[in-house]
Amino acid sequence: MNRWLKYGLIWNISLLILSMLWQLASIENQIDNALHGAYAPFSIGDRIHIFGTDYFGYDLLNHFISGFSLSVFNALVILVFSSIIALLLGVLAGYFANDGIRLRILSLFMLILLLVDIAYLFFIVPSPDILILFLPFIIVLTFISLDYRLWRTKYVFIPFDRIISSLYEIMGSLPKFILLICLVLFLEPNWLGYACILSVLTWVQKSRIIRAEVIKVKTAYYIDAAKALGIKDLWIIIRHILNNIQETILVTRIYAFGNLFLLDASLNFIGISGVGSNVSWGNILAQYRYDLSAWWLLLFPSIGLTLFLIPLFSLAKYLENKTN
Amino acid sequence: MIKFIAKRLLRWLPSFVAIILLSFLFCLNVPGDASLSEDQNTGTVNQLIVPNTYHLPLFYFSLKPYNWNIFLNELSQSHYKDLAELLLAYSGDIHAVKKQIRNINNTSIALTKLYSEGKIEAYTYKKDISALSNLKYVKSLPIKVSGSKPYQILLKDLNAFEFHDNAWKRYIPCIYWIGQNNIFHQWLSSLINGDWGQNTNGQPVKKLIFTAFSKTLFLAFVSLLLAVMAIPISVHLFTINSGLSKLIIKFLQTTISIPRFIWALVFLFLLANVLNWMDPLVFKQLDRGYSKNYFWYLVPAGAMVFPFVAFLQDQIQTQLRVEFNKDYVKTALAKGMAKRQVLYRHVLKNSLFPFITSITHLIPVLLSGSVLVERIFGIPGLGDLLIESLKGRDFPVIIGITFLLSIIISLSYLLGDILYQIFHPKVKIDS
Repeated sequence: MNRWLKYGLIWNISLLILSMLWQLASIENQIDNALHGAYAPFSIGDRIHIFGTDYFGYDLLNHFISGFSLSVFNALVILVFSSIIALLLGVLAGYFANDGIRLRILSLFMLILLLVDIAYLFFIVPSPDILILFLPFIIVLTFISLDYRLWRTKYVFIPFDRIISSLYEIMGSLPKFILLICLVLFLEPNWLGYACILSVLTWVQKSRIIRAEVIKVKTAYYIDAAKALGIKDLWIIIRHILNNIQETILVTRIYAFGNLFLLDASLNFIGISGVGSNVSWGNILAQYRYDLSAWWLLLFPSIGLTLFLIPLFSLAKYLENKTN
Repeated sequence: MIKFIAKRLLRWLPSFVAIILLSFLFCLNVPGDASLSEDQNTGTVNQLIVPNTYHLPLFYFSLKPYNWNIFLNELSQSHYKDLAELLLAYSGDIHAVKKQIRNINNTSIALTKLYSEGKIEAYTYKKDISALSNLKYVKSLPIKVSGSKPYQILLKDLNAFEFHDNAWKRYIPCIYWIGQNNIFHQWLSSLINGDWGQNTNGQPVKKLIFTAFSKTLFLAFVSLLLAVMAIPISVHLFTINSGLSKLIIKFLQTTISIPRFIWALVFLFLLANVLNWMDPLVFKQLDRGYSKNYFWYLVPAGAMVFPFVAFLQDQIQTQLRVEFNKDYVKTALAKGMAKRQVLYRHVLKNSLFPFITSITHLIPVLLSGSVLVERIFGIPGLGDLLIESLKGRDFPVIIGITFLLSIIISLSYLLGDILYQIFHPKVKIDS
């Protein structure tokens, strides 16, 4: 490992710990009345401001650290959500492919009928009579009793790979950044909704990589051996496949974390924030745009972003080179 | 080849439909009440959103109960529509329902007239009006409306409405084909015909968007030129192999992860504040014709492609290094060719094709990345317009921009895939 990479990671970790302690101490950022209505670099108003103040007289150091911890928290939550979606669909498409899971025709019919039933219940919702609620179940029962033995013996395969691959293609050709702005604007979500929208729009690339890795690992002999021994699919996936692709997952996760952090910063720069508070690095940079002579508003967040992202991406690249 | 293109087009179709449906949904669910008002006077404000057809059905077909009638769509007021639907469900006689709705309407008009003449009190008036149009009271007809004598005759008509026990028909779903007379069709046809409506200031949206789009396109074109120029420069850097070139390569490798909006801000700071060369408002002046120095577009374009150039340079370096370890290069070097000769005559042909196609992947990045960079430099382009309308909640403009950019970006993904297939016929994109 490179000397500079080590220093960078130490810097990142210490920044994280500092911001956590800062949140625990819950220091409130109060307006400095002596500096209200003016940008000021390193200054002493009512208190000392090492990083200076913004236009309203808020301490920039406080904004800097609490904004960092909020962005990291946001990025982590979105990362977890999108990773869950990506992992689930990637493994489904990769491991089960087009012939992994077979269903009895009867079960398939039951499933479809159940969905139709639920849709029908929504259809009659304006004035449901109690008796009518049982109608769908009666229909299903008649279907079951029609020709039970014949359907029991026939099977169909569910083409997970084909379905999920076309989902990748549809999601992949949607413009993420623009759609994201519009969705956040129109749905006016709370914090959790914001995280959900971002994770739904960003899982595709990760899932593609996971699918390719799973397909690569799946052909190994020990998987065949495990199958021959009668070990269940779920256990094979957890014990053997996920174990073998965890390094790749880690690398893509680090890249994704950096990108999400960046995305959060750029959305905040535009003026869209999920948390509801306008404390973030992107927000400080947006304030810099109003007065170009306030150099400290540019300097600290941009150096912070650079010094946070470079070690992160270098670490990912280092791990990538190590695994290959 | 043609088969592949056809297949790819077929796969692009769902995302195209998704974009259209999404922007339609955006139009319908615009926050606020201006768009949803049925008043004809405010209809001009949000023409793109609701083209004065709000009373029509949503889509080409709709799922309705068996005893539903198309007449219900002709009712322009939505609370009467719900009422009529319920009345029809319980009576089944369309003529009776029509008559009943007319009676209810007449009664409410009579009530309003009485109220304006001061013959009934405000409390009774409100109670009666809500009783007339409230779904809760429908099942308990005849309607018991309080009030004075003058409209007792009308009430007699109202109470004459008969209920048949046709409720079972309500539980049988039926698909009704509505035809072209629906909101979606009108919206789409106005979109295609170029009638994009007006924004909140009364300016035509289409003109606003396309004047802004020309600037974004120019910026994207300049950035694309810069990105293409980066390829020969990085190949040249590989051949020089001096201290300076190593320094440049190291610099590019470390700055690969710095985002483009930081670059844009730093460039702006250096040129406009430290060196005082650039007027921060230069792009506004270019737009208004006060200045003709279009070379300033190189600055935002440089900020836009900087991370991409660093990435491209890194990729080219690794690719060339891999290629130089191959046997045919060793043979050529052993024959006595210079390193530069080998590079330009043999290696480039084999290793540069991936980068021609990766340039096409830059188009969506440029179009959506321009949102931030244009904002920073104050270029009156599409991104700047988008953020301005976000702040002013100018929904027709936002929807127009989303629609246009989405279509272009998804088309450029399609183009990239097709070009990739043309340049690498051996690589099969998994179908």
